[in-house]
Amino acid sequence: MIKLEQVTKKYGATVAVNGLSLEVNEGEVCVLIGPSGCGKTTTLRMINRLIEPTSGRILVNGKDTSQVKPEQLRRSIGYAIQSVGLFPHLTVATNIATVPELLHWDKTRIARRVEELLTLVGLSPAEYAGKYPSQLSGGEAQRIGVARALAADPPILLMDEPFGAVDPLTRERLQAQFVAIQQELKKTVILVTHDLDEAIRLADRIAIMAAGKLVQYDTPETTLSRPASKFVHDFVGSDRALKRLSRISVESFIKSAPTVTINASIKQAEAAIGSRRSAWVVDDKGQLLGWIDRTDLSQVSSISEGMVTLESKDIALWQNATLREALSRMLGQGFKSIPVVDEDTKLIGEVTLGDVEAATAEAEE
Amino acid sequence: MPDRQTRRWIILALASAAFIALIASTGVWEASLRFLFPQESQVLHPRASLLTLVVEHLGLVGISSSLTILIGVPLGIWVTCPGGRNFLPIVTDLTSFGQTFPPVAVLALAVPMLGFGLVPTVVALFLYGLLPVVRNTIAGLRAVPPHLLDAAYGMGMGRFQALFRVEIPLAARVILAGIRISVIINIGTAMIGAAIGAGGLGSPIIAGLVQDNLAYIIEGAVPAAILAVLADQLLANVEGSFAYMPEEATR
Amino acid sequence: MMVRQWVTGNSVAVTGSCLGLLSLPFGWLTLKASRLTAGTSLRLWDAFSWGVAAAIIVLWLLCLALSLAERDKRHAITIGITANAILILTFIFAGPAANRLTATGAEFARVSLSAGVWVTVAAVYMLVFAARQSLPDYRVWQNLISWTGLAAVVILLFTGWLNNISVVQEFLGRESRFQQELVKHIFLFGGSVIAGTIIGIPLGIWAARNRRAERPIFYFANITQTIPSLALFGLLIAPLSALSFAFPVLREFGIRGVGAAPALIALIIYSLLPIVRNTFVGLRQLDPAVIDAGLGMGMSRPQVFRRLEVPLAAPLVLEGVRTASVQAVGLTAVAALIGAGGLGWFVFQGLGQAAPDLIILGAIPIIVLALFVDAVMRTIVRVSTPKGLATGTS
Repeated sequence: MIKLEQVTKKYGATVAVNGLSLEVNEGEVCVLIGPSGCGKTTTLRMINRLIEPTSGRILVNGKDTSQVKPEQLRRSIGYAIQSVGLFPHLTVATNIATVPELLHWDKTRIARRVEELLTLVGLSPAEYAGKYPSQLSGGEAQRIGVARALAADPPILLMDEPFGAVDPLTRERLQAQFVAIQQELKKTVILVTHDLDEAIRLADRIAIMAAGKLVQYDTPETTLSRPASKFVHDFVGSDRALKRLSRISVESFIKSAPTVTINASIKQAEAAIGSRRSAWVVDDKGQLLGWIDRTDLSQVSSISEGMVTLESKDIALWQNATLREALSRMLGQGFKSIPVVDEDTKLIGEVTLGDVEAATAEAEE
Repeated sequence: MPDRQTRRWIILALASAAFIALIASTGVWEASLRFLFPQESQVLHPRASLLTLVVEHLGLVGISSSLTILIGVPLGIWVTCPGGRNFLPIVTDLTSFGQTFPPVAVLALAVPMLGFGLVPTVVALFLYGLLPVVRNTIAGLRAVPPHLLDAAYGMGMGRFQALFRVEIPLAARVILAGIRISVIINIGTAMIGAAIGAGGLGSPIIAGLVQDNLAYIIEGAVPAAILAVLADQLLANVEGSFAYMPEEATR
Repeated sequence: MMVRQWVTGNSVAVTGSCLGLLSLPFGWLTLKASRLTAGTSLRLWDAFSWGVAAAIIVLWLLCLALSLAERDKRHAITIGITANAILILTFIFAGPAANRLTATGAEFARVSLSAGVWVTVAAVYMLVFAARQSLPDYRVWQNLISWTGLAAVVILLFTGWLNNISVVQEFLGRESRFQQELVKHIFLFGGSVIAGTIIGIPLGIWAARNRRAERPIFYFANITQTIPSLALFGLLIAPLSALSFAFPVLREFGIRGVGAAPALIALIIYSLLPIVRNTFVGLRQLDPAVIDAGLGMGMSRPQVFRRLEVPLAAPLVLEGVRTASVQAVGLTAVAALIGAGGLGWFVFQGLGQAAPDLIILGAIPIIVLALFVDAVMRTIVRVSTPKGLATGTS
């Protein structure tokens, strides 16, 4: 879908991008990453001709971009930047509607699309459509930036550190949302970031650049397990195995866990625990309440007396969490197994340290 | 090689010296004006020599500006201190309201009240010059970051110590900017003061307008223009020698 | 919150009341044998009647008492009303007093307002300001207190109630001339600001886009701004004089050495700096991400300019036009000295004749005009500020 052929950009004597050749297939997320000054942003901006290449060709859908008027090219490519650049004097709705208006869509179509997009990025249209950028938080602004980029339903999306300007917690949420949206929309995305974890999480393929050249262009798994050079090896860091865990969902590792209902008798609890050390305690709806230790069972008369109550948030994992989060909880709480719950906080099963070890071992090959 | 600041000082000193020399050399003026306006019988305004006129003008501006600084800066300080805080809104209102008054009008209104001559001119210059000085003093003091004051008090400084060691030095640049604006406006208004008998560089111009003598006009206009530009550059340099410039400096 | 704000108004109100009481020892009206002679000063009780004087004294004392007493909104309103009442009383009785004094006086007798009245006005201003401050949530009362007195005086003026006061007499004697000069004044300052805008905005845009153009443009604008107006007028007279000498055809267009031509040119030059500077800052302070996003989304350069740069820079540019306009009103007054006409003509005539009323006839309208232009421009700036910039978290 997007093909860069020997693209070079020189600023006087400095070579920002050096003979870059890259191909991104339709529906793929390609992440450009590298140390600062490696030319990744320059490359991105050459695709929509905000910067003109010194030499080389860029083909979008087989057509040479230099043959199309820049404005027209850009109206068919979504563009989201780190500082968002929302137009401060326009409402959220008008901001999002910018490209559709440039394309002369009719008003009803635009209004519908704005609503659609706000819902897509998780913001209530009724509440946000009339707001002004100065009234938004950082995370909201970034989401609206993405909505704006998607407004005219472009097949291609260019993003330059779109989640950079917010705190880590919001960034994680935005990344998760991006993954969900991308699964639904299947756009061709080129995303620039300096955050390797983000790249690993979001990319179908990672393009590592250094000093204007493409160093490795592979899937995250391959990049992590088979770095092409010492540079890449150092760049991805020595905790590659750990990083890989952030691409593995706990879903494939959930096992059933010993569980008792809070109203069960001590005898039933003993039966459920069997030879294990502890069991999870749930209420009659199946929602996770806490856990009870086997040794305590023999000393109390009811389960509610002997159990340790948990705020589910502290320990339990959501179904779509990654193994990396699982490991993080285990290390943080000192547990060897972590309960996994669904949206209603109902216990589904558990994931153990052994599972993490198994996954890591697989990765090492 | 002296740094940029010092170089500017040197250039300004040289320029000022040249200006003074030029002013004092009546012969040069006479000759050049005669060359430019051969048709005029008299080219230099007889009332006083150019040097005297410049001194008169500087005297007018000097006295009124000194009064303005002596009264305006403390007023601005008082109004931002807890003691005078009550008067801050009205003083702010008055200074911005007063800025829209054309200086000519203020000067003119001084006459029915105080007659002609030096006194009304100085009073009008003083009053009108207060506005930028007070406004900038207030703005400069308010632009001092509160955490710096906090640190000062935390270190054990008393109110006056904090004022003189922290607030005023940090506000100095903005205050000086206000003084500069005030002085430049005064130089201009003092020119019109000649119309009410205060002397200064405006008198040859007005005499020239009345008697239809272009040479007189130039005799007044050129030194006045040079004087104003020189004064502005000098004061700008003084201002620039204060390092701290707060983010919200006023115009 | 209310209490603290009332305390703020309190000291101002007390000071205002004391100032009001201080107006009493001054002369309130001055009776002159003719418009040029000095006159005798009349105290309040001589000028108006003892009854009126007593009323005014009582009202001031009431203000003082209220300012010192317990604070609540009713006190603020009462103070505001009282202050307005004093103002209105002063002017209502000034009219008949002037009528009476001129009727019984010499043939060319003139009555003018004196220090007492001006101190009263100043004191009333302080009280109104203090009262306003204490009524932050009561907009109706605020507006009533601020404008009633002023409106009443204006109405008195226009209905001829105050016709025997010297300034008004002066005006009535020269009504048509006044209108003439007023129109000239408006054309001069209006024309120069418009021309300054037409020249200045493109210069500002150029300076903002082009780093190399920036320095010379600002150099020129800054230096010309410091030159005293009279000097600049003077410097332009000589070449224009020479030009009109050499090309007599210019004289057909009214371009001579003195007059409107040098004034207009100088006024245009003076309006350049505020406009150029504000246009420059207005464009430069735009978040570059906004422009980048606009271009990246597919706006053409003219579209970016029209849809983004113009609306976002407009408030600042218009602020510059405002500064230039107010400045121009004052400079035009000075231009009367070089024969350009305008309201300054009255000022300088008055200075020449030592006729204070003529001076005031020129000076006050100039001030009023400046304030009016300022208010109009402020409204324009407010209206042109895009909603998204006015709201927000600052």
